[in-house]
Amino acid sequence: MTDSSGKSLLLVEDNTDDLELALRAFKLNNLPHDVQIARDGSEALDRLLGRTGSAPLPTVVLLDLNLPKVDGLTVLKRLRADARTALLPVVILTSSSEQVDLVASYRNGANSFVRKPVSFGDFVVTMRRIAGYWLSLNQTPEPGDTSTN
Amino acid sequence: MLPPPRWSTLSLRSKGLFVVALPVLPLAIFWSLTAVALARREAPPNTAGPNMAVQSALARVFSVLLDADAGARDYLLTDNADALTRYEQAVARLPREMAALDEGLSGAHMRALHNELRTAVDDELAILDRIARGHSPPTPWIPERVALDRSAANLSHIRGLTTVMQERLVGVAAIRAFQTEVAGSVLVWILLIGSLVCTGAGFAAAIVVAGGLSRRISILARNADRLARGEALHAPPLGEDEIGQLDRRFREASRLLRSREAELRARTAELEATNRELEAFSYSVSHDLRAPLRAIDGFTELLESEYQRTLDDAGRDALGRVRRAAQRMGTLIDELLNLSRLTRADLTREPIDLTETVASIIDDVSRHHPPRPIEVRIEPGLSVEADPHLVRIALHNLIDNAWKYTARSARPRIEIGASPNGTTKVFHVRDNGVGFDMQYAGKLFGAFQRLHTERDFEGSGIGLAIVQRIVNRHGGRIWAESAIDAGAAFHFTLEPAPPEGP
Repeated sequence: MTDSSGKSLLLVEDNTDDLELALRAFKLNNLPHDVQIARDGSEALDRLLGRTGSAPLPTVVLLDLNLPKVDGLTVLKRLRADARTALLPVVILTSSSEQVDLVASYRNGANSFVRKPVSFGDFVVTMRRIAGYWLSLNQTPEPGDTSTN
Repeated sequence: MLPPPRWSTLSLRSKGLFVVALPVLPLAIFWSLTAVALARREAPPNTAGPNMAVQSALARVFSVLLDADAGARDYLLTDNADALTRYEQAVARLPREMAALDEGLSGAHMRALHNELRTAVDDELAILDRIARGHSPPTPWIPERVALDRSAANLSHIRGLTTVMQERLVGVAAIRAFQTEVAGSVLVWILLIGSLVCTGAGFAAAIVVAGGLSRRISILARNADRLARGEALHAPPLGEDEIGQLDRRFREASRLLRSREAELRARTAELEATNRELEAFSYSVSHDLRAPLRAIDGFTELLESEYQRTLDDAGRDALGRVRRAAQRMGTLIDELLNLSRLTRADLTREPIDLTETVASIIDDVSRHHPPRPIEVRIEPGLSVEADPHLVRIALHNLIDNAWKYTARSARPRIEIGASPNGTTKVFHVRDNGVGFDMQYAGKLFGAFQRLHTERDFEGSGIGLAIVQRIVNRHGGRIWAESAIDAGAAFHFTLEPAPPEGP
């Protein structure tokens, strides 16, 4: 599933509709990257922290806040607490418009906070802006990796 | 037997009476003692008169007897009739003097002396009678010489008696005088000690009573302080008198206050719980309602783009309507959330340059609408002390409305200004747009209430509800005046009305 550029995206989303729409938005934006999917917080943690051997980290994680089992904020905290994922780009993608969620997300190390728009057109544009941005970066920053190429 | 009333249960009136009575009681005792002493002091002058009268009566009795003796003796020796007359006159005076003497004497010893005197006087009268009568028919058995001798001896005896009586009378007078003097000095002492005792008793009573009063009043004052601070009151009650009653009222007030406070706390907790529920509700509205809308919009778009060829015009129109409805519902949910957020947001007042704010809003609004010539009049120097963020939202809504509803006016005009009403500043946003029927003015500020069809003027119907809520949160009032096709004016204040009422 990994494409030639070696870049992948992990989408953590429990809502099947939102999942379908996100995949469609990626397609419409011509983001032919490897998209991995986790359906809840614990699955996301398994994939990112429980991975074995040399399985590469995704380039960016799109993380919903309201998730079954382990909620998004807890996932974010665990990722930031682990040296391997401390610098992994994480974009919070949520329906919430609450100031408290925004503040909590940035406090816990989110790289970006994006509210899911109701309009699909807006959603496509949003996906282009955030996922496209992170995926267009050449290299996923790894701890100790100072190379910029 | 009834137990004596406790001091603490006595009323202040009784305590006051006690303080007055305490020195009065010994004063009364000393007054009566003084009266007795005075009575005893006044007794001697009453007895001094008779004493002197008795003394002179004694002297007179003796001199009358001497006169009688001299007369009888002269008559015997000279045969002179004048001498006989003098003798008889003296004898005639004697009973009166003896009677005076008899009247004035008192005491058993004096009585005895007096009886002896009376006997001696009777003897003397008998002797003198013999001397006087013996002269004309001379008595043979008593020679005149012997009679004269006996008279002289008897007179001497009488002199002795009167002298003894005199001395006794003088002695009694001296004792009386001494007694009077002693009584006087006792009186002085009684008065002195009495006044000291009364003063002391008065001071003692005043110190005890006033000390108790001031101590309890200061406890009362401390209790009043505690009452004001809402603390528990000083434990022991302050007796049964008026101060005690006041103390009890304080306690009752404190108890009442505390129970009210507890009630208030319970109600506040209830309100906080309700508020939290509301917040949770709005959060869930925000999250849960928007997700299905997103799905509706997204999949309708999919249908539109992927199945374009299999859909006819009616189908595409229907899908277009579904998408517009979903997006509109999304807007409504967002607006509703904004409205609920406005109610919860903190309000911080600071001075605002409204003229500048309005100019910036006009700039903002004009960018969001198709460009057209609108005459905008902003009163210079508008200022207010209010929450800048909220006031901006309110004015934005009002100006946006004015912009919208003047779309069909030939020469659109918007005026923003203020006029004083008493001490309150009344702001207004006026336009010459389509206006509305005042009949529906009551529905104007309700959420989702619209007076125009969406086809004529788009909008969520929540803008004026937001404006009213912002005005209300400032304690102000908002009202509108309009007529169809005659423009509309919105007036509002941003401070509570003065207490006198509108």
